[in-house]
Amino acid sequence: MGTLIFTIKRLAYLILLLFGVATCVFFISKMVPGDAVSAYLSPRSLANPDIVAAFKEKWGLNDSLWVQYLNYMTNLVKLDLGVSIRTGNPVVEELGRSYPATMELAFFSILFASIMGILFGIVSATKRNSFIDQWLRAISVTGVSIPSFWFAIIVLFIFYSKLGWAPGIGRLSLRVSPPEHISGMYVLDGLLTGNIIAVKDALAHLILPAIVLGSFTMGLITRTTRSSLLETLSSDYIRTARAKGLTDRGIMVVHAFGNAAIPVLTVIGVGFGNLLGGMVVVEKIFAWPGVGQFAYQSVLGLDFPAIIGVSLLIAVNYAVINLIIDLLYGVIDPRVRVSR
Amino acid sequence: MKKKGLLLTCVLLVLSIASISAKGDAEPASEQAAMNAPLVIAIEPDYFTFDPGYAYELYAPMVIGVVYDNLFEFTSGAAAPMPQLAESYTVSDDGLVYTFKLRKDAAFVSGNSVTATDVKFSFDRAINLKSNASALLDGVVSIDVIDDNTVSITLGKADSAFISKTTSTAYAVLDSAVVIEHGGVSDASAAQTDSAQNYLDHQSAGSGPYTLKSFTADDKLVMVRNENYWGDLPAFETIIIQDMPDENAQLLAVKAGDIDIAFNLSSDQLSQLDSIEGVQIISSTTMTMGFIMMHSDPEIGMQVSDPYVQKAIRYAVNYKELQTLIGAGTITPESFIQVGFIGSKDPIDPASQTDLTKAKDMLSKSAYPDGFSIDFRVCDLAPEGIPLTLIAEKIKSDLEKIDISINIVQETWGGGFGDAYRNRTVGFTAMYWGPDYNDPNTQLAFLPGQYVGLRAGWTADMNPALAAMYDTIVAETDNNVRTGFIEDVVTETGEDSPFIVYAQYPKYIAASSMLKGVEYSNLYRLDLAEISK
Repeated sequence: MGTLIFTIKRLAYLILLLFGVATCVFFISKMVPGDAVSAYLSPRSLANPDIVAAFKEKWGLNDSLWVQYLNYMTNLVKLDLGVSIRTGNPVVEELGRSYPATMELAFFSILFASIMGILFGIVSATKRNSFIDQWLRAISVTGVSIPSFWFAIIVLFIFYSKLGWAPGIGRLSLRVSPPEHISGMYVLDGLLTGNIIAVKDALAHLILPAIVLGSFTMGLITRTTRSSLLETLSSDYIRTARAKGLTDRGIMVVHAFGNAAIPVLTVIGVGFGNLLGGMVVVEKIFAWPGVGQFAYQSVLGLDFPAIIGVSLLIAVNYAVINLIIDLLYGVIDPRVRVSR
Repeated sequence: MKKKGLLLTCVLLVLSIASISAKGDAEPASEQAAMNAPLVIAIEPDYFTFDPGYAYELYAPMVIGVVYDNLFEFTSGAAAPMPQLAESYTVSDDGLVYTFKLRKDAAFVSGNSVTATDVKFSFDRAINLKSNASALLDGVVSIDVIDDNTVSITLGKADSAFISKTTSTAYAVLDSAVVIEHGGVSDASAAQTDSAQNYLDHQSAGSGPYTLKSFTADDKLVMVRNENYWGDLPAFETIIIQDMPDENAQLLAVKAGDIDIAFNLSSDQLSQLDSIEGVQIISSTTMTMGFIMMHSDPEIGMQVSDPYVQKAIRYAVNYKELQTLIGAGTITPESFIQVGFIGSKDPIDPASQTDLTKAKDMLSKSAYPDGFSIDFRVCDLAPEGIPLTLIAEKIKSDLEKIDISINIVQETWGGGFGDAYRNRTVGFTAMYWGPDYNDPNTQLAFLPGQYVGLRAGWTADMNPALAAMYDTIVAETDNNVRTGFIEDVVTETGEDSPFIVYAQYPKYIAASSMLKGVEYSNLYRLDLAEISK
């Protein structure tokens, strides 16, 4: 019951959060010096008052700021994010097209980061100050500090261009048709429709961008897992467990990792949110048709309805991920449930 | 033992992923053998619509040019427009009424014949949508259907570039029945009521050699051959234009043979392809030109509004080094009428144009004989991949030699610079320009009193005779006479204008050496129907 009330409260906060984000982004968008009229109309068109007037009329730019705001918020309540000036399509439709690509890449990135990060963190903690610990710490520092645009080019050069082990850019090879659209995530849709060729090709295309994107979070998870485990392993109850003759594996699995997992879970959650909202560079290099690319092109084109739409989507991502992480805390550590 | 197990698990995980990767490539390859290989082009796209009534972006004509037909077209290498849907035409003595006879064998993909009604619908729609495309039909007063195969177009003023303008995407002829069925409107309410754009962005309603099969923004575009095309069928059954915004990714993909044409490579990258077998490099000069603008109003241009300062800067810029910076194939035109247009002159010798002694002499005659410091505003645009900020740094180092110290102020185009530039409040900058249509008349916008000239504060009263050349050239329908007038403009503005054209940019295309007919086109960027294996 407590968890249900907690969830309902958080969802109510989410509505307030979205209202705040929409309001802030709307007014900030209107305050920036750029003008959509200049951004979209050619010099020749700008010299024609009829064309300028028609453009303003079409996009409601003749209305006062408050009327524009009220119109926007009224539509938002109806889940209508407006129409993208750049593409002429509803923003909801554009986000529906690009979000599954981003979600799929973010999921595999966080999967890679979590598996490798936790593994490295455990090995590093159990082999503290050993040669292997030094190596894994070096890998984690590299993962955190390597610039993604450079790393992306390097992995493409080595594994795609030189060795030919991985396919190049995009979500699928040009000769492979996308699976029937269900979720927009090719691996999932391929599995659901039995299109194994698409599944394999999509997975192959995910490897390099997922590694590039996940390397930063992997480094963080490695470091967090290591430090959290080291703290836990030095606890009195672990010493007691050792004194009772439990094996290292038993101590790690049954006693240590569960208690060390909360900070790791937090890092995974924050990392996943960051991946969903911050993959512009990697999407550009890998020509990944996701939200990052859509946001980048929208910002360049001063496509304000699209910019606000992307901002709201990112806010929802963070809020939902945080909620899920908070609920998982309770699953991992019963004390969190009690304190709610 | 346990450690080994853990290690083994890791190795197996990596190997299984690698095997998925390898299989993912291998299995479809056998399917591919049975397919007719498509032509795959990678570009950093700027387009978002293929509705001829709205499209204006640089690369949209690459698609619209093969999906739709126009009354006239620019075939590869042609100096003048050639008839496409028009079989013949006549012009009234006053140059105001053009009457076109349409060819009778042309048909749309739907099977409908191309008629005068379709021409009227398409042009009326383009005018009434009041979009970027409408601006190119500015002078059209009315379109009248004479009979099924005859249409007349009346202009408000004689326009010597009208036939050239009809080759642009704004004048594409659409299948009126299909467009109306999908919400197309051509009357005066079109700007508010037309709803055909979404349909035309994903499918096409033209009579060209290809049809648009699918388009996903930020991903790819697929065109298939129109097997019922009335003209010669193009070689490729399918063309895929893959969005590849990163030029390094384009380089790797063309080296790997995954794409047939890489369209956005820099001159530095091309050197990496020199030793690669199976890749040809096509270098062409474009009509994109870069220029320095010095505002003539002292309140805005400050020191650079002084005509002697303008001349000093003209002589101080090192054009030869700018050519090297931009890349092989760069040329320097004498004025804002690019080399290649009728009436233009040969490119200038960049070395002889730079003369520091003359520059210092001119500066000594100005109100600032000892030099000065000034802000140089530059935005984040990058014509043909070369950032304007890089050009600004070069200009800064050149002008230091004559004691003009410039402070580079970096701005973003969308973040205010664009507005300031168009509102004529930028005093000293470097910018670029590409023609709106394939005719030198489009360059007359740089004359005093015209909209680009006015951005530099160059009002008509500052040079009334030169300003009057605009109307004279636009109205002159005899091309030989017009050529003479344009030559006069080049001569007069070569050394005396608030614009210094520092370069006409090159374009590099890397293509599979199996391909023929890959050629840069000023109008279409690439004429896809001309490419074959």
